[in-house]
Amino acid sequence: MSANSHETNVRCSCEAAKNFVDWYYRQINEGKSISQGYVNGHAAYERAGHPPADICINGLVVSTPQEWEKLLEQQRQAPKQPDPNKRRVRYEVEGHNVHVINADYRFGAPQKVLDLHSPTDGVRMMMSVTVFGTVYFGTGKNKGDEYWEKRDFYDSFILVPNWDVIEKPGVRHGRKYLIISHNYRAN
Amino acid sequence: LKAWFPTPLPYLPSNLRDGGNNVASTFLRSFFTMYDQDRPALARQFYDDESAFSLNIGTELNPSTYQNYSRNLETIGFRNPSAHQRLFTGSNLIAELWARLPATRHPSLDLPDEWQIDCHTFPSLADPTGQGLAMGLAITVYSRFEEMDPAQQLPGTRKFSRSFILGPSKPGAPHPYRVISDELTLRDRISQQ
Repeated sequence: MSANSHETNVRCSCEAAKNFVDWYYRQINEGKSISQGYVNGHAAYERAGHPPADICINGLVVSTPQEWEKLLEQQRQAPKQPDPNKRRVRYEVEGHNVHVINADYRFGAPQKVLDLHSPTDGVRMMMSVTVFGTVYFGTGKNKGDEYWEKRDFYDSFILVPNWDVIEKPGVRHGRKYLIISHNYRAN
Repeated sequence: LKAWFPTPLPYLPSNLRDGGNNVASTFLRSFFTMYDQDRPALARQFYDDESAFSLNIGTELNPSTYQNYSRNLETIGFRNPSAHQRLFTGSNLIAELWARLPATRHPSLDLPDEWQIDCHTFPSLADPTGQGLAMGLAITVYSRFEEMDPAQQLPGTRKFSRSFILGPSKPGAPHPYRVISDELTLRDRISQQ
């Protein structure tokens, strides 16, 4: 059995993907920031000289997560709409999936994490996460609400461990895995 | 109109940043031709013992062959043993699964309107020789294919997305790169009468 399909890695990657997906689309649906989910600006990666996250939105390369947030904000604009139930953009996730693509990820890792965790411990994982669903425009808060328009959406992410929080079980803030690559399409 | 309703973001064509040597275009051309015509040969060419494949489909009105193999973690639950069983690892298992999936016909890659392909290189894969780090290529494809479902015996069309992670091969492989990860996402079938 390869390290990528090792039972612990499968279990941990599925759990990490689920937590990530739940967090990411909840933030977006509530109009909250998703910038801290990206590798940009995280201390361990910044020190080690990691490049900024590669973000491509409907074929457009976007240089920072903040710029993606501006696009999301732009997408939400409906200044003339008086009805709050026709103002929203709502993402509904219908499915997601995850593969471990490097079970021995070590970029920027503190030596103690390398010493402590082997590639079958489900910690030092680089993961490919795919998500799909429907995005509703001009709608309300809830599933099944009327909408003005809808699109199929697909997201592909590559996630890596957040060394700043991964070994701190008490840490409640901060994402355990960070985005280094994000591809979005909605058609 | 824009002032009255939130509006979808602009939609641009394919964004190919595969490092200048056209790996993505060359690979995809072989891939979809062989996927339609000779899946076992495709698995031998580009997949090895560590390659992973899984597919992902939402809830459908008429259950299809794909449902039996879907690793949609939203629907099966991320603690379900199927999350392990439906992760197909190694070229042999992948080829066995592909043989059970409906026959497909993808549009020609010479029709750019039929495909959106986004790709870019990224750092920090494990080097297959065990030394240091390697670059990877992330390719995501959006298109549709025609399929003949064996259960229904009716032609249909599906929109799909397929995300590939390519990395350098192990020594002795038929190509300098291999598929590390292949995740197929399928949408509802549209039947043709």
